[in-house]
Amino acid sequence: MIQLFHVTRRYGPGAPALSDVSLAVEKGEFIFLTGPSGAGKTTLLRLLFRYEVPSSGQVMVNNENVATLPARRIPHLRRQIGVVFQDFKLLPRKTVFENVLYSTQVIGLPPKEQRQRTYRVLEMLALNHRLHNYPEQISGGEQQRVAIARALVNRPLILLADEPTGNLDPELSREIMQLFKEINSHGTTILIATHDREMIRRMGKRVIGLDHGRLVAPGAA
Amino acid sequence: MRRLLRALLHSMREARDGLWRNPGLSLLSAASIGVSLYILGLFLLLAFNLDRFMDALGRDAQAQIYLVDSAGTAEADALRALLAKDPAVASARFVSRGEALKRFQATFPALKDLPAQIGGGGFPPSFEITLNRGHRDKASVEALGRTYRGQPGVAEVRYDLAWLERLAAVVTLVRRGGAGIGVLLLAAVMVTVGAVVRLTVLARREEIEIMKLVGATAAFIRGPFLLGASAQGVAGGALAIGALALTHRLIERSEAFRENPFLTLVVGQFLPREALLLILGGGLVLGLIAAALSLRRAASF
Repeated sequence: MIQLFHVTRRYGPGAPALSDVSLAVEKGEFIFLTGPSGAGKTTLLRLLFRYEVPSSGQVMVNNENVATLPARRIPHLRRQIGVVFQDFKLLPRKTVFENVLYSTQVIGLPPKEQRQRTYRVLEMLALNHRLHNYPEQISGGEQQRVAIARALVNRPLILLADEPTGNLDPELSREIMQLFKEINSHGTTILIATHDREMIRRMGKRVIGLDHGRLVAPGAA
Repeated sequence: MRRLLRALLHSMREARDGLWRNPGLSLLSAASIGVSLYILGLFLLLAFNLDRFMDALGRDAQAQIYLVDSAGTAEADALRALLAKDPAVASARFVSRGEALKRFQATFPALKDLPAQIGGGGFPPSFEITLNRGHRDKASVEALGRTYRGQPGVAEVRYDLAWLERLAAVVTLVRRGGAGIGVLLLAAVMVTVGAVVRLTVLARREEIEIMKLVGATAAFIRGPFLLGASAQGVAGGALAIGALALTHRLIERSEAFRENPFLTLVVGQFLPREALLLILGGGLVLGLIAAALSLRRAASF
């Protein structure tokens, strides 16, 4: 599903954010990407949905070379990937329902299906009592779940999450992780960047370690 | 097709929300388009009325072909046949000696006995020529003179279009002046509307970023902005038309209009429907182009 071949990403003359990284993720896998701050986790995720392009090397997602993807194909790639951002990136002027509905409008689903899917995914994430609230009117954990709902509503093949529990208390973090596990059980490939070692240990999934932009043994990251 | 229609409806809703969200900016944009189109419209009104005036004069503008005294029916018929085939000639009316005399006596009743007193052949027969549109310029009329001066029975070809040429030059000047000012105004409007669109894009950059991240195409992102700017353009065009109509009405009702025949020539009639549609369409296109230029970078991946 995801392959990286000798990927390097430089931002300037200093040390690269990612250096000669090669890895493969199978369809339906649940993977933790771990490492300290500045290890290159976010950069790696960004390369996958073509928010950035590698300085060298190849990034393959669902058999497409993301690095050489023409601009007009980028929306198509992003529709296959749901992304949960650390800062949620919710639209403040739209309600919870509208924030999630928006993603279905972007891909041009029929209006009835847009509403049905949005309602279902919000119900699944126990947000059906918050439909008409604005992001600022709900808690951080609820905002995180809205961001997850938005990432899931278009039924992506891959779900990327960047520090999805970074702003949450331990109990909420566990709830969110349980949710990811459930989503993964339906066949969605999941890649989560986190430095929460306790959570990684508890989940017992495959771990990819990064440090200073290089792949390292998970325990060393 | 349905997907396209849905995207269009979505763009329309988003455009409407965008316009309502920043009413001040939307009004500024529409007003700047309106002011520019209003000034252009004034030139259009002036040029349109001068054109009408020119056309009316052109219809009356005739050349006269005078025949020699000895010319008979054969020469007149030959000339009539030749004129009938001439593409420059709209109509050729034969004026006999008798009719010319009657006209003279009707125009100058005090001198009605003069032709008899001075004797001679009286007034020569002639053809009064009306020219077709496109043949009313100096060059065409001079060509007509060269063609018919050499014909049997023709004594003289007369025309006087020099003053018409001068008026045409004035109309051309008005048109060119309007076009020149128009280009400057359009450039200013592009900058204003472009700046408004850029400000809107800046205010919504986070939203645009999220749209890109969830898989929106460039067209989906740009659509609402383009529609919004087009709506502002049409609103500006409508404002301009309203202001033009009001200006025209005020001029018509003014004392100066009634007393000064020149004003009736230059603003006597309001713009035709085609010109009004042109102003509305111009506003739409203007808004669209300004927005498209400002959005080049906003929705790029």
